[in-house]
Amino acid sequence: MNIKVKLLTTFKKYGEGKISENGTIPLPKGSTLRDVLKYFDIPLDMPKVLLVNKDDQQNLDHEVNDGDEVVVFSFICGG
Amino acid sequence: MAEKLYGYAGKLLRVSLTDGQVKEESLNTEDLRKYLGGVGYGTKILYDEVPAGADPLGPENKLILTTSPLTNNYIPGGGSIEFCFKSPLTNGWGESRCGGDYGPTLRKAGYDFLVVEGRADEPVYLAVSNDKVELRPAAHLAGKTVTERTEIIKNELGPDYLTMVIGVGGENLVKYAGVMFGGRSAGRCGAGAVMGSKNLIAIAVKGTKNVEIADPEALRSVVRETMAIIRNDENAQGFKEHGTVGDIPGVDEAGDLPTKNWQSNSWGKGEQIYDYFYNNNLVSNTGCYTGCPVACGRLVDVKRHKYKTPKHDGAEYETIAAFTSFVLNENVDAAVHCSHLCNEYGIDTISTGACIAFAMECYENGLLDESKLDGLEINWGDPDVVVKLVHMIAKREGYIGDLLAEGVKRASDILGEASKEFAIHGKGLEAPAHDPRSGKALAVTYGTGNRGMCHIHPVEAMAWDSGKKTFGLEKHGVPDPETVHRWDEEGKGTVVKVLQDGGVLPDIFTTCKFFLYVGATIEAYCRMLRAITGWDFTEEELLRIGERTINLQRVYNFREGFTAADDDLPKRMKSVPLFGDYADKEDCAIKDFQSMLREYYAARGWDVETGRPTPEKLQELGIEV
Repeated sequence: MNIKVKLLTTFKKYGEGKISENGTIPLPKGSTLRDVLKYFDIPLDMPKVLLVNKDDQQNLDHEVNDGDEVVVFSFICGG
Repeated sequence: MAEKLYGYAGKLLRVSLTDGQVKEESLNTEDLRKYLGGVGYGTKILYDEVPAGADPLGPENKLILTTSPLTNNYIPGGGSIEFCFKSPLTNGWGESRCGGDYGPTLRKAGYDFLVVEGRADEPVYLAVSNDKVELRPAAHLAGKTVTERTEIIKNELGPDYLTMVIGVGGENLVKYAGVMFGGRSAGRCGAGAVMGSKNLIAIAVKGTKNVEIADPEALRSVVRETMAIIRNDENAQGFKEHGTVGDIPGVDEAGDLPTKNWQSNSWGKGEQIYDYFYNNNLVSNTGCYTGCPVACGRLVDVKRHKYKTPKHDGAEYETIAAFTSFVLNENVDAAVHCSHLCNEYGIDTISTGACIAFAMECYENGLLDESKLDGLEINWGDPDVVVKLVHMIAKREGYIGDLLAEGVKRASDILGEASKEFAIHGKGLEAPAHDPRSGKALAVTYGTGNRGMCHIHPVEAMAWDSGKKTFGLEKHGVPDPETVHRWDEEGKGTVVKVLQDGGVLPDIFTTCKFFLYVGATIEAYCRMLRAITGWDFTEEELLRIGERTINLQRVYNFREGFTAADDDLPKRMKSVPLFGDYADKEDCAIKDFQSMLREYYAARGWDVETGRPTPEKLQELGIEV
């Protein structure tokens, strides 16, 4: 299945060369958010915000589905 | 014999502009223990000294510059100054923070607090140096840019003076004029207009004194430990490389980027805007005060074409959002140019961008016709129009410049009922660039913020709810944010009480709030304060000082005529976005804000219907009214 992934600002560097032109990555069915992070070698303990289809989802065991959009970023807390 | 006071310079300087009198006063130790410094002690002075109903632009208002025992360059985040005053924009509690070496230098000059009162007959500036205080003529500075005035004063006084100065905006009493320290600004709520109304153009300070520390070795130890944590912190690295403006792509995705005067909470262009900025405008990072280990500031420029702009310290997240997403402007060079113009005129970037967005929507809906616009067509997204309106606002040029210089609340009062839904503000302060439809704790802090809908005090709610950060407040009752959904409403009012009590502390410490996001904790600051003052502070006592300060500010606002109705949010801010990624997300809309407020009032021990602090609560906090 294909998962659309956006890695923003401080996470952008993890995606270099790993995301296809249409913005997706291939993952086996049954993959979780943890697998998405592992795909990019993103340290699991890094402070981050995860959105799945714009929904708040911090549970790394959350199963992702074909066509889902996952966004990973860190709140720098711009004020 | 009085108790020896460690950690404070020990004096308040009072300057009356009306008669030129200067007085040094000793500090009230009991009040220091109850309010510490910064906006805590500043609230106490404002409440006690400025009479109810005072005209914010009249001689009765006071400008109170405040520091704390933590205002030192060697303290993590210790380079700040806090201005306290009655706001001419809101007619309520006003405060503005500015980063830089100015606060520490005021203490080196021998003063923890500086109170300016009255009104000078002619423009003057104040020079303070190691107990020497002088008022000097300033008429020759009229009409000049902030950079020019700062240079002239430096030439007159000598290079070792640091100067905070108002610009043309402050002279023209733009209601949201700030006070500038180079490219840094005490920007919100109109401190610059208060100075302008007093004919006070600048305050310059220098000093060489040291403050005595109770336990220097203990202080060195906790500072060293905290600095090591900060230097290795991932977020600190993010701040350094990307600054606050690096938030734009993330907040756009999260539905936290107010767009087209709050018609939406997402734009879909955040990444494009930031990539352009990063590749074209960013020159390097910079620290606002000497010794900052984070250095999140941005030195930026526009190298060519019609928005060519010299290198300057500016273009924070709020500023770039205000001049792009607020007004649908995709030209980042123009936004950076506006940042520079606002700095040189000395006007607040957030309020300026928000006023322009308001005007564009009024124009689109036929509430502003071309007769009031000097022939301008103020269409969404037109960068030339945005730049032109910045000039007009600062100079109060034409009908539209003069109207928007009053802020969106007054402007909508003038334009009439139909414009009210486009006036997005809280208590009269224009809303900043974070959206409570991204996380609803922010709605409560936006509604109940004492200075109005600002970008500083609400940040702790957003950082917890959407950003999943706790800054060590778990042990004081803040739940793990990863167990809470950002769109839940129940429980948010209760948690906001604790988040606010902790979140106001950096403004009482006059430390940079960002340090709470990069590894400094309230516990660490508590240890520093114990070492500096020799007082046996606990974290609980500090949170109590935060709570006391918030309550006294609330009492002040109620005395000035505010009620619970002023805690409400604009309807648009509570509604499903009209377009963008969240237009089909019903859950992001705020369903029952009044219940959220009632829950918050109950957590605060206030009357749940009127939102007024009860006599019992005030007595418990030791607040005498």
